[in-house]
Amino acid sequence: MSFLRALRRPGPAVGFAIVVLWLGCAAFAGWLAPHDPLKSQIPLQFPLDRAPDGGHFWLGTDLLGRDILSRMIFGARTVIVWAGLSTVSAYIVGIVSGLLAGFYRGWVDRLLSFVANVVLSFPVLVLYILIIVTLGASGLNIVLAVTFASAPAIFRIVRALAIDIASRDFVSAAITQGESAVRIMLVDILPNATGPLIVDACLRLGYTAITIGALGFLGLGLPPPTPDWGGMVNEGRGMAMVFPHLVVFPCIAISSLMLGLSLLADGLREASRAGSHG
Amino acid sequence: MAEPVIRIRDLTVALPRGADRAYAIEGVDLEIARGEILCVVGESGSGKSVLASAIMGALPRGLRRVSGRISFLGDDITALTEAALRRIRGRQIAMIFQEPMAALNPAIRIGAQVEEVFDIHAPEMPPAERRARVLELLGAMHLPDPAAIAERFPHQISGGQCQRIVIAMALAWNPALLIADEPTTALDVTTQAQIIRLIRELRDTHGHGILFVTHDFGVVADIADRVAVMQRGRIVEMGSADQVLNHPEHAYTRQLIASVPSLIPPARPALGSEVALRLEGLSKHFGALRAVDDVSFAVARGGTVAIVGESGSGKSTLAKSIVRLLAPDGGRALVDDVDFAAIGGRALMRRRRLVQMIFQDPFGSLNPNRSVGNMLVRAGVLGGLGRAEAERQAEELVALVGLQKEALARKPEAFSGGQRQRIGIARALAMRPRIVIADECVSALDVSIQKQVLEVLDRLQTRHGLTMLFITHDLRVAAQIADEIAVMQRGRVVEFGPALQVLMQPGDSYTAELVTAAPGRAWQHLARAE
Repeated sequence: MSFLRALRRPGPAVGFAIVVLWLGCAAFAGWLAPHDPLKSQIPLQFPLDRAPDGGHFWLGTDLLGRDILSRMIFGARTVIVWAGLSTVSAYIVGIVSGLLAGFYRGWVDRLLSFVANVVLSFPVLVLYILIIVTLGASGLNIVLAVTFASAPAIFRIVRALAIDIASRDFVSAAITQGESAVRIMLVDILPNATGPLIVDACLRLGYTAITIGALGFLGLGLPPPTPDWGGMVNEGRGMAMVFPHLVVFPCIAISSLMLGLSLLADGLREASRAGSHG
Repeated sequence: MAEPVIRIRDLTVALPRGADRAYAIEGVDLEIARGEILCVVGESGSGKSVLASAIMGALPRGLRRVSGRISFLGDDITALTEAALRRIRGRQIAMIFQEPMAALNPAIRIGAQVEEVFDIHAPEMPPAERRARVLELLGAMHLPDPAAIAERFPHQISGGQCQRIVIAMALAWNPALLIADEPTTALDVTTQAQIIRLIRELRDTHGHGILFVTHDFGVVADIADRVAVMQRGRIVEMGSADQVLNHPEHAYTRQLIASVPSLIPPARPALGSEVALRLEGLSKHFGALRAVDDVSFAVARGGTVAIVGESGSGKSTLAKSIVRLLAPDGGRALVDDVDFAAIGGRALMRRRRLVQMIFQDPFGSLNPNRSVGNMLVRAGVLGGLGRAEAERQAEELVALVGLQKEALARKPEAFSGGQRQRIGIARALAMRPRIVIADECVSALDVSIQKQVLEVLDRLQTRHGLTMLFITHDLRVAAQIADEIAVMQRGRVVEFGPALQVLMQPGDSYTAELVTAAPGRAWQHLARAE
């Protein structure tokens, strides 16, 4: 309901369209991509140049002669899969710890909050670099790094929401009924906290996509030759003055996905606010 | 007759589309003379607050005046521009609100806030004079030591004192019309009685015309010169206080007045000697504050004890200590010879169903994400029933509290406050408890709904032989429901005894003060005598 209402305004609708577009690219990359993203053809072709198979390199080719459009489309899959997995994983950790701290308070809360504050006190990028350099660059390690760095922020949100909701009478009622703590947290508290969490998840997915881009740019992303937007920018940056298409298009991809998610999150926030009034 | 302060003719305000009716108020005619208090009384949603804001020219978003004239001292103020209205607002028409704490800025000292009122309308006034006027005003509100109060912040004074400050600010320019929207509803009865006295005194000395919005007939009886009764946006009856209160003509007015619980307890059947709940020296401290201090009394099986007292007296803390939402610091709470104050862990979990609670806020006590059926069935299962039995019981319970079977599939948002409260009662009963603790469970409800809920509780009590602990600040409700009354003050029970005795011949000075402060006391004694 509130989701549909959110899409009635132009901003969120555009955001939703962008996100759906990239999701579509990720899902149907094999059909949409005009070329094999890993195949070397003619290096450093400009956009719209002819391809040997009679088609076009719509966005040109890179240093190794791979089609940039195809790499971007497959790159969407990389970003969305790993950003999605990382965000989900961070959410699981953040929600579980946040619920425990917000419901039990006391020493559980003090301990978890302390750990969260310690992690949050590190600069995020330094934290990522430390983890990836130590563990090695792989998709799984990106998930680990993002979870480690993002979960404390999610923990804080969930904890604050849980403390507020746990003070309501229906939670007291469940306690006096002898309901188990796990059920109270999952049935009475969590479902009443979803509104703000969905908005945050949307934004966080965008940040994570940027992070994966940044890690790729620093050479700490997915190992080559996996198509990865950040990695593409990194590979092309040496020649960006002469062949701007090497970096411009992957950059547009990263920013558009982030923009789409932000616009969508804005719309959802408005909608959940309106929903809570009526 | 002299020109009235305000004369309203055929005022109609439209609600936004999709509301439950087309007009918030419809065809309202009224006038208020100098030195007269007109009480507008009605249940929630009757449009009484909209009427107040329409006069101020400050309707809530989405509401629109469709027709009508509002003449203030002879001038039609509906034709005025916003700038012209602003000169009148606050200076000639002033308003006081329900929540005194919310009407004051917590970050500014009292004196400075009151001075601001002069600053807005007379920036040229010299500071020394302004200051003198402030102290004079605070003095007129009977505030002790105005100079000291002026130096304090709002959180450092009591709720009643805050309301006096708000009234002082409203009266700073000696307005011709004062609009008071439920100004005493958030206050304790003894404070309420003082504020009512203050408003009457101000009317007599300054001759303000006062529009007093309230839902409480007791307050009406104590303050009104004339009364207008509103129902669904219309004034259904208007007349002198004596006429409306003692000889109501309209059926709705009669029904409302009949719903007001009497302060005189009815005769109740005698109870057995078996004790269902015995408190022995129960205590709960928060640091140095003794929120519940050495409380001892016993409740007979099938009986009801009302715990009455003002806010902060420890009533709710006592309730929470018994149901073990809080852990008591000392004493015993014996339920069937098991000390609820001493057990914990699994032993407590197993026995929790025996003592159930009904909560105050009908909007906060039900999880908005669960259907009524889901709540009731789960409660039955937790109470030890099988799933099929629990489902059958849920159906019985909704019928018992007077709801349709379809209610089971709906979520709380589909119900009104009174219906939600009945669902809360059904949920407590689904556990098949021995003892039910009701914490201000009818305070948020309109009188007619309150009456229904009290009747449901009464019926269920007889049927299930429930023992009840009924917490309320309202002596009228206590009088109607309780066999015995415990009066609490600062964490201690200052008086305990049969309802009739406590209310009619209070043995403690504080109880006597409470009984005297109960609004509309003289009116109902008169009414019963007839």
